[in-house]
Amino acid sequence: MAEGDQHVLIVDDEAQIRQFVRAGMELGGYRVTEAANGSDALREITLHPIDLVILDLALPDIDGSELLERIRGWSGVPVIILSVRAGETEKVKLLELGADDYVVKPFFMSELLARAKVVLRRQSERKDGESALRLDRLVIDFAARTVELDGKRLNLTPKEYRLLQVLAQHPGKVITHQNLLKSVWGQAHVNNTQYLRIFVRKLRQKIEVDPNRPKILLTELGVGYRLSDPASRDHVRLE
Amino acid sequence: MSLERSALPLGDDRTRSRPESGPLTLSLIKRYLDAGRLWLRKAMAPGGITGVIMALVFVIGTDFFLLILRYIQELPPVSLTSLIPIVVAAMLWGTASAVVTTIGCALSLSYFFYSPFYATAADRSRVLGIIVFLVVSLVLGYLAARTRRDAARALKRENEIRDLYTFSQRLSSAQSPAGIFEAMQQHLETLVGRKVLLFDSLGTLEAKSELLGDVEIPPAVTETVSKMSAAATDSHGIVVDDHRGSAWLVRPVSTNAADFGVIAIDLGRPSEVFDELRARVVALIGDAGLSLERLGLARTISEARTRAETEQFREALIGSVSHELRTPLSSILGASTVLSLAPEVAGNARLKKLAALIHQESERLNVEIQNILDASRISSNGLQAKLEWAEPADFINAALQRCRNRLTSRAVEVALPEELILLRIDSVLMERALGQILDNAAKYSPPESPINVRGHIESGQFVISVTDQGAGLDADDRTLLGQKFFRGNRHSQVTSGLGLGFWIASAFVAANNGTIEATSEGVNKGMTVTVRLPLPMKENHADEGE
Repeated sequence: MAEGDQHVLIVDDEAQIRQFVRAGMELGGYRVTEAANGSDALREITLHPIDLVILDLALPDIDGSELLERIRGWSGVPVIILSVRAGETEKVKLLELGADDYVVKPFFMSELLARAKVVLRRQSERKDGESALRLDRLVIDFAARTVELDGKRLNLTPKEYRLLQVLAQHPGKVITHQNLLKSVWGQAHVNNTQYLRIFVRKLRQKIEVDPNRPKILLTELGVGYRLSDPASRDHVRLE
Repeated sequence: MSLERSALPLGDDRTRSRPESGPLTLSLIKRYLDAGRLWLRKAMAPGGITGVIMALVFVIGTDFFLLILRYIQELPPVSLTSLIPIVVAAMLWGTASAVVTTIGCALSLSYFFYSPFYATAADRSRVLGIIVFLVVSLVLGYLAARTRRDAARALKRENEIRDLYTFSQRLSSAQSPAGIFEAMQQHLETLVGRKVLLFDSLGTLEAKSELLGDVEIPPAVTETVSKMSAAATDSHGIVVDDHRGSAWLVRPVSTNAADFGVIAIDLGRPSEVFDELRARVVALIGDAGLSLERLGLARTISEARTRAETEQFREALIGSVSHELRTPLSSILGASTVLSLAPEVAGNARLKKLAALIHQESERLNVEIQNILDASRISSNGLQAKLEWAEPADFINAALQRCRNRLTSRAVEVALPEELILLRIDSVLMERALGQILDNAAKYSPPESPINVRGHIESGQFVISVTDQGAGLDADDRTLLGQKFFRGNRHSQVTSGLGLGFWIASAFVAANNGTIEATSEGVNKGMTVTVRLPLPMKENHADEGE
């Protein structure tokens, strides 16, 4: 799918922010629609085939997280949150509500573009239903349940494989600690961050060159983990 | 408004307060049990009925003992033997019990052991003996009573001193007037055991005792308090009736310093102890007021109040200013990055440089705003560390990543232990702390000089040290570093910044139960900042999750 076909909805009550985000997104080759409040945003999403929503949390009529919940009630459209509140609890809550990613204001346009690209690619891949994921030197074959690094098969324990699998289902997306613990160890262990730390370390020792400086399995401080997405590596902060 | 209390009806507390209490028999039984318990306690006390009964038991016991002994061997002087029960009775139950024992012993002994046996004959020497024994028992009873009284008084004094000590400790550790008032109110509450309300000098409620629950404050009390706040009254205070049968004593905490506010205490229903209780409370408040004055707290309180108001104003100002600054900054930063992306600008070296300049400077502004926000959060005690199990490598990487723009020109060497280390920390705060340290290292060392980041375990702690080869510290810097807004004299001309970095880092590290230290060999000899974080006790977490 060419990027020119993709339609981005920017929801923000501040005209200045909408203005530069529109300019940036158009430079990135997207079609852009703007909405200044929650009800306009809901109408746009219902009326037009929107591919990505960039949503500011502070809206005059509906609280951003409530709007997100309402969108998630009937639509799987990717949502990237813009927020001035950078609290980790807030981020975790938004991810659990179904946000695909978040960007904290003030942000670089290049960063938002990179996130948009990852989220959209993930969405299109999900539709294709691939059975294997390739991340640089790492290949995860979901059908055969095998993991290869530089063509060599890795020996992972079932828990390690499961952890990698959960992360690999949404490459580039932050998966919260709680979600990981729930998927791998079960509901009873959602607070045992210690397990998670130990297994992430074990996994990193197998898949990373230097487990102290991971390049594949990345930490999102206070929130969760994500697998690096090849597309997100394109974004280099402008010096 | 001041109703000096005369004779108020003495209602029966129990029947009136609980008319609805379910099965009547149950409440009746409880009532009799209570009464019984009260009677028992009274009877057991010195001078009670038990003393007399026990005295008789002693007499009979002594007689039996001596009678049995008589069959076994020659008797000792029997009158001396009777001293033992007399002493015991005097010590345990007081004078009355001792007297009864004396008389009982005298009569029974003369009956059993002196000729003519089994008859009471009053010869003169025996009457004299009884008198002597009576005197002994009276003296002993008096002595025992005095000892008991002294002991009780000493215990009470000890308790009071302990309470006063805790009170003074709480006073000295209190950082706000509210804290001081809370300490006072709790102290009075322990001593009096009644509801206590404290109003500040303006007549607003500062603190109330937990006993009060949700009960509303009697309007009569509020009214008196507001009147009293305006003009100081005499030291005895005013007693107010709350129209529910309870008397409240209202009094300024100190008659000399209005700043201490006004206190209102529920003295309860009038009873025979009412006047005594009132006198005690008045004396107590007087004492508390005096010690408050002695501690020079009047000034402290008013200063603290002013400080709190200033601080509040400052925080509000900083909060709104940084928000107002941040919103346009988001647009500037975002727009400048869009400009850099635009092909027209990207193709023109001069324009590209300008766009990058806007972008860099707005980023710097953003960092300073973030620092001000952090600093205000620290000063207002709004810092709450969320301690979780985390790998130090994670926050160290994140800090390096965040500072990468400032570190691009130099070699940053990172050495971390191979094994997994888990700490109980707030990774986000630690990342910010380390970010500040790295930022300072980059700021105060030549652009091409290397920076070393080293992590290792040392005597039960995880130690992170950041070493640069820069300006180092001179003697002045060493003492002043760590203060808010400190910037070394040598650098204020050269680099920008508010001088909040190290101070913020210290607060963040402290919130993670760690320590921070800066060492330097001297001017231009570089500097090492060392952060020490506690390693949790070794736990057996091997393969628990498998």
